[in-house]
Amino acid sequence: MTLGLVGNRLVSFAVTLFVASVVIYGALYLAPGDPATLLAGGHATPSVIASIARQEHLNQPFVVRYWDWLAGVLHGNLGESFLYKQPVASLIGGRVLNTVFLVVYASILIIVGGVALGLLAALRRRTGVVITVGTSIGLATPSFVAAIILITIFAVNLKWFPVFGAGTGFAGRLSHLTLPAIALALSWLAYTAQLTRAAVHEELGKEHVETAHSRGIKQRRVVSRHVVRNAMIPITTVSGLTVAGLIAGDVVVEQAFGINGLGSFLVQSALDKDFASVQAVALILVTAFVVINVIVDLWSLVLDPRLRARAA
Amino acid sequence: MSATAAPVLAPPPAAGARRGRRRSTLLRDPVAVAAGLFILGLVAVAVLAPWIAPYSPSAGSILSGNEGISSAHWLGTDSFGRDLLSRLIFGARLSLLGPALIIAISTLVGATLAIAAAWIGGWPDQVVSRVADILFAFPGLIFAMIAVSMFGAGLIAPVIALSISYTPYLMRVVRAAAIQQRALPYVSACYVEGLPAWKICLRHLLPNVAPILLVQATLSFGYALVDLAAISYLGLGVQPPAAEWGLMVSEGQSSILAGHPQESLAAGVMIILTVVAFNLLGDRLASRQGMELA
Amino acid sequence: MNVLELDALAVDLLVEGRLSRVIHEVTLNVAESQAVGLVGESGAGKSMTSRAVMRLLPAGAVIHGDIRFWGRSVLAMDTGQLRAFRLRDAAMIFQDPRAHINPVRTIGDFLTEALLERGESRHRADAIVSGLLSAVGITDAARRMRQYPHELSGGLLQRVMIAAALAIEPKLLLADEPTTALDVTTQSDVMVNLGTQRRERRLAMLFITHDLELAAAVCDRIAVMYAGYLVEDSPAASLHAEALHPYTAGLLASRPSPSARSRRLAAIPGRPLSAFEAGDGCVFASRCPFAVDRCRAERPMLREFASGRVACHRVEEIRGRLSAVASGTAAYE
Repeated sequence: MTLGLVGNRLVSFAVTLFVASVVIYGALYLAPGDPATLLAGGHATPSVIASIARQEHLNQPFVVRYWDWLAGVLHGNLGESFLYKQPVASLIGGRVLNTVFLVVYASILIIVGGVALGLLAALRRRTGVVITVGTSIGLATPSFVAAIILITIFAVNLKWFPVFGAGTGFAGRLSHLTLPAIALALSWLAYTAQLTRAAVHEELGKEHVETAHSRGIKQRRVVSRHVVRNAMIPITTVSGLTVAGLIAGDVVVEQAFGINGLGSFLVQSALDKDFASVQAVALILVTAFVVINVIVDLWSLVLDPRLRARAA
Repeated sequence: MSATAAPVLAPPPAAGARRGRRRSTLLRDPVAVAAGLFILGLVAVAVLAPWIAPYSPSAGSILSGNEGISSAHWLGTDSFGRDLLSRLIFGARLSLLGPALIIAISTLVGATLAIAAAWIGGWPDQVVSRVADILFAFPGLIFAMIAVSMFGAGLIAPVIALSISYTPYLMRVVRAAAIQQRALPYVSACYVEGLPAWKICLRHLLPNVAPILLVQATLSFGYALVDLAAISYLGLGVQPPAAEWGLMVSEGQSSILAGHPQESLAAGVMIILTVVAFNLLGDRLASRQGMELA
Repeated sequence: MNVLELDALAVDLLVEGRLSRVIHEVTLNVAESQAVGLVGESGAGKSMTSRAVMRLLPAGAVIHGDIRFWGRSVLAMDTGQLRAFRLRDAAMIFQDPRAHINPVRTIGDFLTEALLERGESRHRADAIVSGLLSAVGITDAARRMRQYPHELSGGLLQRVMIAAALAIEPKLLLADEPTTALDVTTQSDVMVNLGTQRRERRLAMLFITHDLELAAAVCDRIAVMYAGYLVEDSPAASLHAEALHPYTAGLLASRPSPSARSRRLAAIPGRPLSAFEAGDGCVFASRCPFAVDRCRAERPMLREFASGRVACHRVEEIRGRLSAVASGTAAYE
C-alpha cells in the first residue's frame, strides 16, 4: 500500500523533472537568434558558429537534439562551454561543494533556529511578542540586504568573520560561510519561526493535549511528545516551498560574499551569455529542488500516519 | 524571500457581500492604516520625484564621493558623489514600477486563466493545473536568469520571467475561490436565466473573487519587489546609471569596506520598510477576510 | 469521609475579558464505590464542574470554595502534588475520543503513557494494558496496540479511553458525557462495560450527561444542574419515581416515550439559561409554572427534603402535582 503511494509520488516528480528539462533545453530555441549563435556566446565569427552547428548536430530535429543532450547529462556530460572552451562539468566541479556546504549550513540554521524561536514564542507570551516583531522584519529582509548588514557589522566593525570567499577545508569553510549562511537563512528562519509559533499555538489548544495534561504527564513531555510532534506536520509540508527559495537565495548570497559556487557561476554565465553553462546549472538546481521536495513529501508520510491511509 | 515563498491563501467559506462594512473596520486598524499610508506616501514620492528631490539622481562628481550626512546632503553621497536622498527618491520609481508590472500581469493572466478554468472545468482545467504545478517547481530567480541569458539584462526580461513565475500563485488562489463561487446557487440561477458565461464570470464571479485576489496581490508585491531588487543587485536587471534600490545596494557594497556603508544600508532599509508595509497590509486584509495563510 | 467533596464550589470564567460566574456554589459529595450522575442541559455547567475537579479549567478561570479528595484540598495542591493526583488518584474520560487521543501515535502508546510516566517498565505496562483491553471487550490486544486511532471506530476508541483511565487504578472516575458522541447501540455496550468495570473495582464516579434516563440506569444518585446551580440531588430510584424540583419534572416529562398517549411532545417553555444570565431570584423562575413572587425575589437554598436535597421554595406544596407532570399524566403548565 505504502509502496504504491511512494511510486506514485516518484512518477509525478519524474514527470515534473522531465518537463522542466525540456523547458530548460528548449529555451535555447525560444531565444532570439539561432541556437548556434547563442551557444557560441554571441562573440563568435561565422566560421566558429558554423563549426559549432556541425559539432552539435544542430540540423537535426529538436527531439533528437534534446534526447542527445539528456542522454549526455545522465552520463555526466553537461555540455561544453564555448566561452571557456571546456566541458561544463569540469567548470563546476569544485564549486558544487561550496554551494552544498552553504545550503546545508543555512538549512540547519533555519530548522533549528526557526523551530526553537517559534516554540519559544508560542510557549512564553512576552518573549513571543518580541519574536513576532523580529520575525516580521526578518521576513521582509532580502538575503542581499541581510548580507551587507552582516558584512557591515561583523566583518568590518567587529572583525569576527572573514568577508569574502569560501575558504578551504571544513574549518575554513565553517568560518567563511557562517555570515553567508546567516544571510541566506534569515528570511526563511523568520518564516519558519512564525509558522512554528502558529502551529504550536494551535496544537496547544487541542483536546488530545488536554487529555495528556489530565493524566498528569509533565509539561515538558506533553510539549515534546504531543505538541511539537504534531505541529511538525504542517511545518514539514511548507518546507518544500522554502527549498526553492533557498536555491534562489543562494545565487544572490554567493555573489554578495564572493563565494565560488554554483550560484555565482550561474550569474556569470548568464551575463556572459554562456548558454550551455546556464542550461547545465539550471538543470542541476531544478533537479535538486525536485528531489528535496520528494524527500520532504515522503517524510510527511512518515510523520502523519493518517496521510498513508488517506492517500492509499 | 523569493517568489516561491509567496504564501498561498485558502478561500474563506462562501463569504457574503459584506464589503461596505468591512472597509470601514479596516480604517480602524492602526497597523493597516499606517502601512497603507506609508505605501501611498511612497507612491506619491515616486510620482513627484522630479519636483521633490533636491538634486538630479545622476549629478555629482567623484570629488565629493562618499560624504556623510550634512546639511547639503541629508543622507550623504554615494561613491560617485551623487546625492543619496535624491537617488533613493528616484529609485522608488523603478523599484516600485517593476513589481507593479509583475503583479499586474500575473494577476490579469492568472485571474483570467483561473476563472476560465474554474468555469469550463474538465480537461482544460486539469491542463492548466498541471502547468501551474510545474511552474511552481521553478524558483522565480532561476527563471529570470534564464530569461536574461536569452534576451539580455535590463528590466524587461526579468519582469516577464517573474510575471510568468508569479502567475501560478495568483491562479491557484483565484481558482479555488472561483470554483467555490461557481458552485453557489446564484450562479446556476444566472445561467438558467440565459446570461452568457462570460458575463456571469465578469459580473458575478470576478467581484466575489476580488477580495481574495487583492490580498494575494498585496502579499505577492513584497516578494516581487525583493526578487526584482535581487536581480538588479546581481547586475542582471536595471543597469547603471539608473537609480534602483537593489542596484544601489550592490553599487555601495565596495564602499562598506572603506567605512562608508550609507548607500547600501539606506537602499536596503528602504526595501525592508516597503516590504514590511506590504506584508502588514496584506496580513491585515487577510485576517479581516477570515482567510488562512497556508 | 467521602472520596470527593465539592464544598460551595463556584467558578468564574474569563469571557471576552470579563469574569463571569458559570458555576454557583455547588455542594456535592461522592462516597466510595458510589456513582453520582450530574445531569443538565448544555451550558448548565456540568462539564466545567468535572474539569474543575481535575483543575483543567481554561486560563484565567477563578475557583472559589473547595474541592476535596479524601479530605485533601485539590485546589491547594502545588504542581507536583497535582500531577501525582492526576497520575494516581483520579482519571477523566472525555466526550469525543477521536479528538482526545493523539492521532499520530499508536493506541499502545496512548494506553501506556501514564504508566510509563509513573515509572513502570515497558514490559509491565504492556501487560497491564493488554489485560485492560480484554476487560473492556477489545480482543486481539496485541494488534490493536500497534494501530492508530483513525483505524478504530468511535466505540472502540471510547473503550480504549476507558481502559486508559482504568490503567492507573484511580480511586475516582470523572466521565464527561462518555457516550454522547456514539450511536445508541454502541452507547449501551460501552455503558454496560463501564458500569461493570466500575463496580468490580469499587470506583467512585462522577458521571456527567444530559440524558436523565442513562443517569438513572447507571448511577446511585443523581444531581441536577440548571444554569450553573445545583437544583436537586436525590437517589436515582426516587428521582425517577418522584422528582422534587420543577425542572427535573420537566426533564422527565419531556422524554419522548413510545407509550405516551399525548400526541404533542411536552417541552419546558422558554429557553435554557446560560449560567451567567441568572438574576436575583430562583434561576428557574422564568420558566417555572409554579413560580410565585417569592421565587422571583429570593433565591432558594439547597435543603434536605425527603431522601434528597432540593432548591425550591415550594417543594412541599407542589409535590403531588409534580408527580403527575413527571409521569406525563398532567401537562406542564
